[in-house]
Amino acid sequence: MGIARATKLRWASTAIALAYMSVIAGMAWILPIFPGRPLLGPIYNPVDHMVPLPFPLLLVLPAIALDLLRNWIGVRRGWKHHWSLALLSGCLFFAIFLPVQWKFSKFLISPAADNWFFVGNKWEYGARVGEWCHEFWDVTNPKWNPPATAASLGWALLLAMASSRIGLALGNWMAKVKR
Amino acid sequence: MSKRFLIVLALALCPLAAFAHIGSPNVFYQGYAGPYPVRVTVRPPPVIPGRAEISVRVESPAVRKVAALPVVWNAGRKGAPPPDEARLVRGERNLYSAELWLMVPAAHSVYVDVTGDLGTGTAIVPVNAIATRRLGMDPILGAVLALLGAFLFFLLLTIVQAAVGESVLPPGATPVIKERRRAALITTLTAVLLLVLIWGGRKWWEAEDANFRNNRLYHPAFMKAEARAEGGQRILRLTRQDMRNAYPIVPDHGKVMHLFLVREPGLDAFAHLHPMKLSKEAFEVPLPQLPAGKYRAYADVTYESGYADTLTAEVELPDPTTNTNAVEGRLAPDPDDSWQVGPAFKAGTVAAGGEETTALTHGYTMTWRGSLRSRTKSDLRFVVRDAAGEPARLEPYMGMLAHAAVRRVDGAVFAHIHPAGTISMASQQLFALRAEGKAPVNISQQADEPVCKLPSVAESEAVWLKRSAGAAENDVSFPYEFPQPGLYRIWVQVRINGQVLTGAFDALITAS
Repeated sequence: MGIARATKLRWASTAIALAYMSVIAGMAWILPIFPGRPLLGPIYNPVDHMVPLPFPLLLVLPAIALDLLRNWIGVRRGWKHHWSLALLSGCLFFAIFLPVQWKFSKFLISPAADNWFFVGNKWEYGARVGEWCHEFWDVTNPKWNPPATAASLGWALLLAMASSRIGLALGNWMAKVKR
Repeated sequence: MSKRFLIVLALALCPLAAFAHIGSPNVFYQGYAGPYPVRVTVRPPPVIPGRAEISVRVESPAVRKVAALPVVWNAGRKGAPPPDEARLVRGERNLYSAELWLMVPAAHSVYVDVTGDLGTGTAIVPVNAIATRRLGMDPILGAVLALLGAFLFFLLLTIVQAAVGESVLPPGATPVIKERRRAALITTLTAVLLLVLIWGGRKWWEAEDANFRNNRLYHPAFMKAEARAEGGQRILRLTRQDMRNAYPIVPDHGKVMHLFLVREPGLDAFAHLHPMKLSKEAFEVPLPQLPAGKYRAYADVTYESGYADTLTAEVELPDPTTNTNAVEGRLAPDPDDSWQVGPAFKAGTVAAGGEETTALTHGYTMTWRGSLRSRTKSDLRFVVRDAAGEPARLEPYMGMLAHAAVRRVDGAVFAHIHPAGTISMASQQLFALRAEGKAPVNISQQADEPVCKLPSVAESEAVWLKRSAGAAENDVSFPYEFPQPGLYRIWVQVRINGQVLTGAFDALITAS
């Protein structure tokens, strides 16, 4: 949000999201090519190649929406404009990212993602691979991953709006930096 | 010979049993890696993950390679990292050393693979991996880091002040009062935010530390011990209080629990008993003719994971019952129960080192040979003679030649040791069974009874008798190292003509 505000690019948020996704996805595709083996135990999951991070978050979709919103509202001065842009951005990000990533996560832990592209079947050597690998963690361990409630979703929305406002403030400052 | 056969052979040749440690974390093992006689010492790290120091002495020529690897009980050898080759210690002919990372707090065993002209053999040495100390930070390092942290804190505030107050002005312009105030306000807010973050970090660290102290640091597991008179007997009931590590208990040499009672403060009465299990929590044992008084109880158990533990308790024993008309006791004592009542410990009479002889019953004597130096591994060696001064013939006693219990007078150290060392035989047998795929790794903490079936006492006893044929029959040695200097009492138990005799020795162990 901040960098997008500071640049003059129309699709700045989308570009940044794509950059993040390509770095992580690139690692996910390249690392498993190289052989590697664990030198510490216990090894519950024998691996013979390097293990990448999971497939990146699908940030590009909310980023497109944020760019569209920003281009539609335009750049103006005044606190009313800044606050309304921040609140709308937060709501938009929350409304798009949550269902998209939820559905995408469901796909990532399904056997359909067990391929080189989505690296759904790559687990580190200490993982005790089992049925739980195909289940949402809040099902297997509600203590560590509490299920989504109205309160937790409310907090997520609030944080999305707050971080949008902070990002916007930083972006405004960056746009004004002269020396 | 196949490797599997050699593992079985190595195990069968080891007459040893339960493991106990209070303040004595190092592991000593004397046995066989296939055809090679080995003595293994494992010094576990004080925190997990940490590096264990392994040293292996192979009493055999023509050894080409010694390697060691850590095996976690539920991952097995196939879940172990590649073995680390142990290096020959400089100036030594047959002493090898290696360092192994123990990564998880769980029952481990160190597999020592010896390769030479006689093939390859493996010795399995069980090791408990658990944090025994909370490592502190060096005060000088702490001070340096705090100074650097403070420097970064003020550096960041300076950056924020410059970014807000000056970076948005055209070149050459100086900030006016309004801009200065704004910069000061935002810098102050940033400082508050940073302080809140530091405070949050401290809270997080305190929570981590509390979790470490409460859940990951080793605490001796306490039992409740109560003695009562019943039907002409005194019965001691032990109840486990802490069921966190509640895997089922496996019998070690046929006994679910090896209980040691020591009368305090004189250490003048000692018993080695075998309580029977009433439930997963409760155990009972009829007491022998021990005098009344305050006793410290140490109970050795091995869980089905292979983790060996010592449960402790304090108990006040009443006077032995004098009611001879009472009905016969409800509980029959274990045939291998034994006890000894002797002179109280007197600090002034204890000398460091030298040879010492103590009288056993029936005219037998036991002599402690060798010198004593703390932190220097030297066997505790004892020789038993009969009334005529001739070598006495020692019989196997619960599958081994002798038992010994070592206690520092103040109670800071207690260890139950055998000629094969400090390890739990049940634990070693479990690891061997799992190595062969004969014991499950997925076991329930809820279960009452173990599912793994360990080899019988008679099996290992028979092999031990075969091995010891021709060896000196009145001479026992225990590989052990006193973990701390201080005053110690050592009880050594042997069996002659079907009777268990206990000799007690006092020693002053000085720092080396």
